[in-house]
Amino acid sequence: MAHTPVSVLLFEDDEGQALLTKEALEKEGFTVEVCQTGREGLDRILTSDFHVYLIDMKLPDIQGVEVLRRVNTLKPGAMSIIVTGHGDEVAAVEAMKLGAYDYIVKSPYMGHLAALPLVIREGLDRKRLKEEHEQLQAELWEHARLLEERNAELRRINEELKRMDQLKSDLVSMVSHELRTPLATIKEFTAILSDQIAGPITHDQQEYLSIVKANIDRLARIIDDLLDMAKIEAGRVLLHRGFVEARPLIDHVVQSLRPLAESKQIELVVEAPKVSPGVFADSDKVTQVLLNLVSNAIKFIEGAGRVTISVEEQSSDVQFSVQDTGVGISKDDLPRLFEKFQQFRRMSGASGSKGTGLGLAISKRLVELHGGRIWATSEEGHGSVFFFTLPKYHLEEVFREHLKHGIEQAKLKHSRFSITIVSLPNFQELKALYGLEETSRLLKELEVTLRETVREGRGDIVIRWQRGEMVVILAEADQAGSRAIADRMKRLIEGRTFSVANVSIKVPVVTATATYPDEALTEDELLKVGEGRLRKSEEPRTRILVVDDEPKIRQFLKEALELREYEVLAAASGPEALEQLKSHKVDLVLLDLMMPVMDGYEVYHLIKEDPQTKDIPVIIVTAKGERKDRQLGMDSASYNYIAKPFQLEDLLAKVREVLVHQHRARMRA
Amino acid sequence: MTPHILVVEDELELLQALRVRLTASGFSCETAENGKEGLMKLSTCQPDLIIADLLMPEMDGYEMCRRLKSDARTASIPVVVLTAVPERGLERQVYHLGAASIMHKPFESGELIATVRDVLATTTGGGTPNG
Repeated sequence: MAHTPVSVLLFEDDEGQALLTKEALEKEGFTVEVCQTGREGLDRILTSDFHVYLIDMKLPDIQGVEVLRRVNTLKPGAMSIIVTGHGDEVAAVEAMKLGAYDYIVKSPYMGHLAALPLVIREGLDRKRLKEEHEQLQAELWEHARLLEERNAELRRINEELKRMDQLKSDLVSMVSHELRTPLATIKEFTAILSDQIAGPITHDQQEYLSIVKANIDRLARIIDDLLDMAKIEAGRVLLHRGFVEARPLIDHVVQSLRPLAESKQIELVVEAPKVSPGVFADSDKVTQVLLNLVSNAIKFIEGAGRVTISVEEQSSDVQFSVQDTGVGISKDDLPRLFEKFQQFRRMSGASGSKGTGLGLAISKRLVELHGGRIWATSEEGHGSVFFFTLPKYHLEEVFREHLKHGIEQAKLKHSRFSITIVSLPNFQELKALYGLEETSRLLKELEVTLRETVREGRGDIVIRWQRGEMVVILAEADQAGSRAIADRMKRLIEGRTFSVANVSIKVPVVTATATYPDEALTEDELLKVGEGRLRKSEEPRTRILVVDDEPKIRQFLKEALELREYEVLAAASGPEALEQLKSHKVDLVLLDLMMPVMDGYEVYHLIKEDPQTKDIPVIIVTAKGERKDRQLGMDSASYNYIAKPFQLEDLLAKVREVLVHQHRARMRA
Repeated sequence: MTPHILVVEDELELLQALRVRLTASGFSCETAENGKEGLMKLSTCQPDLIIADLLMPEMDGYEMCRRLKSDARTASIPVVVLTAVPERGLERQVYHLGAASIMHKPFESGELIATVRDVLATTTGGGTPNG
């Protein structure tokens, strides 16, 4: 801009003013054209552009403000500066609002002309900055818009892919159903022919029918595998993980493949430590993987041979391997081994024993779903070894998994449920004393005992092996309900003896509950609430004796206080209360005044007269108007009372207050 | 006495194959093409066992099972489910319906006959045919 002169169109009817302004600006390097009326200037604009429009507010034909408006309409974004007489600043401000860049006030001795070039330059700078800013802004918006467009597109594609995946998996399950039905008919009629039910057939016919049957079976396997693969790819395979001991699983696989192996003179060998490691896995899925690997191994052995299945515990996981003395796999084939529809050469035997091209791909995905790895090593002509790993069995992990599953199920079925934790406080000692196996058996037996209280379909029990705890998930139980059930469980267990290592023992337990959704929402939170209470219940709890002849009130107070973690004894009469006080250490007595046989006054005095019980704080529970301090012969400062009918929260506050007071008094003493 | 079996299956050719197979194995056989027809047959004949498909038009196998299990006259007849529904978790659901056993299509005829004999042996306390 320094090189091209700045052009100015000046609207000024006063010739002298115009001349002076023109001179002043031209001296500073501007080019200036003057028009004396608004009309003339606006006509000029139609044919030419100027950098700056300098507009006098008072023109003979058109008001300066109107000129400004028209300039702005004709030249959007043009830079106009208003020149105004002294005392006309209001109009100038109005002009600014209409889009003028600046205004300058004429001074009587033309002093403003010195400032004019500066004002123009400044205005031009501002205009340039503003334009640059606007351009950047526009570019930014454009970027944002493109980004948003791209995101929308990605979202759409993602949705589409999900839909296609679902469609594919639905299609595969539908197709597999539709294929199985005619296949069943073909298979059955083939069998009817081959079993000669429809009449005798020749030896050759028999052989051809066996080929048909083998291919029907192969087709059925392909359908199974396709369905499996589709389910895995659609993320619809859920693992039901638990403790799986490796050895029995391998034995099971070996047993089911032994007839096939023996028919080919192939020996199946299992190498596993005496105490075989446990894995945290879905046993059906691991069986599927092992069946696939071992039957592959058998398939690739030409003539007699051996397949060795071994399992080995490693530092972080458990490794399985299946080794064969077969023909091996070429180096070129190894990397593609676990891809879909890879058929490798050297398939021997009848066509029916051919694979589906999906077995290894499915195995890989199943192993990976468990968080394990699968791979193979091979030397052509010297057999192959397939390896896969599975995570070790971690007791706590399993517990969490089961608990989560149980709670998810409960959430699906019920709007409210509780968990009850039944814990053996001396579990670690039991374990040390009787060994892991016996204590595990004990836990199992406890579970069976607890099942008696959990009706079918309305609850679930999860054992926490590590800690000797059982978490019972109870359907539709609220706080009071679950507490009652927890008490029943405690009585049930503590009321009988259990046999551990041929010794009869009593098993003390502590219980705690937590309710969904009142107290916690997730399994972690529920467990936390329960555990917090469990710890408290292992500590000695504050024991309150409730004395009231009205059973409903007694029960209500008992439940309300127990919910707040107090241990509650109840007595229906004065004598019964005194009896309870003799045999139990009590921290607080809630005493009703109006009772038959022995009223509250008498009970109160007897408590206070006995040196054994005189320090136990008593809260008198009485109907309004019954309170007769004098009759009690006590000054009101030394006892507490609450009037019936009371708000539960008031009663609880009173209980807390009295207990805190008592605690302080004891500390002082 | 020859055990009497009612086969309920909408795939008519498979129904024919099953009739041939069962007859050859020494059973007498009655057929129905869907659940509704199956229940109608039950009002005239008292089979010792029912073989039933699950997905059928008019009335499916689930509904048929539910109805015959809730009727005191037919509740004790054992049902063997024969299905092409490819869900492995189906077993539980089917046993919940009161079925005695489940077989997946395509099935081995030897296995089907063995299952039928097993179920008959446990529910009637013997009475398996020769064959």
